[in-house]
Amino acid sequence: MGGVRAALRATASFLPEGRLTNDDLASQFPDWSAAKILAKTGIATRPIAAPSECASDLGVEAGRRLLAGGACPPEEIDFLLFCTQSPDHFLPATACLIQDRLGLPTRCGAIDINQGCSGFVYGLGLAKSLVEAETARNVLLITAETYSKFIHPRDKSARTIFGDGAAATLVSAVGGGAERLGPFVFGSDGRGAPNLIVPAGGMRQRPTPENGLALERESGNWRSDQNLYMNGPEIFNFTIAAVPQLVAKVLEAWGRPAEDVDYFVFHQANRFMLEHLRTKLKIPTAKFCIDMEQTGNTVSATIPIALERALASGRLRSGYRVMLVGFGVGYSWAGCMATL
Amino acid sequence: MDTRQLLAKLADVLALPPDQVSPGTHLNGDNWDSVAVLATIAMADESLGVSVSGNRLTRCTSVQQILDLMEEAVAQKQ
Repeated sequence: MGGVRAALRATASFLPEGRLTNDDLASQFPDWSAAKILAKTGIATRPIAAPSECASDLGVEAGRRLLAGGACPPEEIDFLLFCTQSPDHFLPATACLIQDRLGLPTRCGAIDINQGCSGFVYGLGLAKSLVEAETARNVLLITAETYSKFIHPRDKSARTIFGDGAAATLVSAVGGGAERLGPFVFGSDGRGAPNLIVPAGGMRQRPTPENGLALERESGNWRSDQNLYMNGPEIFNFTIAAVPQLVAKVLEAWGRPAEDVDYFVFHQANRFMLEHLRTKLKIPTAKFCIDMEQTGNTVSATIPIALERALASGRLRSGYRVMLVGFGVGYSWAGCMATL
Repeated sequence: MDTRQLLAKLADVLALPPDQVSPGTHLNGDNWDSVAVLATIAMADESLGVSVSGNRLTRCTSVQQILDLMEEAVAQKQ
């Protein structure tokens, strides 16, 4: 590789104003109390997009915050990667709409990537490749998700876990020297696709009145085939099998022991799962991020939201070597090292 | 890990007093929800180093059925 290295330069998040609190959930599902929900999930409240508020709107706000912070003049952004699974339209690519709304130059490349909980790390990997191949100098990666729009109002399991949110992250060329972003490890296993899916609404199953009909399913949750379905126990099994191997592979590729990692930021799926992974991987509490009480699981936005909050609180500092790990819907997983 | 130790851990998972959990203990919506299933998967992973099917665990109606699934998973591992 030539003299160019990619680095994660800045991140800024945006959460919609709407909130779904545990009190709201407890009033709608009387067999649960707000305290029980907090104890079992580690989530107190979830940002929820308004009916007219799309992933692009959240992403644009996150992008404006990032650019307003002075990390990079808009005219110097030469590639936009937009990651979502709830795009505004089937076409055009939402990234093109965002290019216009953020005032990015028309010479800027713009594409959507469809990936969920692993999407941020995938996006960083693509951004690094664009920068280090000298195809782009400043890549704006926006991850934005509004899963709430897929979830049936009477699916208490899914409504309890997911929040809506967005984050904008700048990956830029920083000259030569040591690797600042990477190595990366990726993985996929489509056998897990049925365990986290919105079955109908795309081309395989066009929306019809029949597949839009909600029925009571497992654990008293209601949904139609146009709604999001998550098989929590099977996703958990996948995670506890895949993530420890992923972490080991990232460390092997990096060539250093786990003790040399200053901080671990995993996809903030749910507190219980994260605590189990932390214990299994023997990561000290002080080095492991669990920060989802105010956001819930915002899918591809959880890692950058957590990074921004950790930087703001001083838990993370410039120069820290951080391991980022995403995993979930697909199944799909990815991990990398980043020096902040 | 013997059955008695597993029962003690299952009592913890089900949030029931240990003396109230036996193989014949019936599982119902009060004690056997999705969070309890996740906790059981975590316990099997941590205590036995095995993966137990979430779909099959969800269908269990007694503690004995959970123990059977764990035994099967351990046998498959060996």
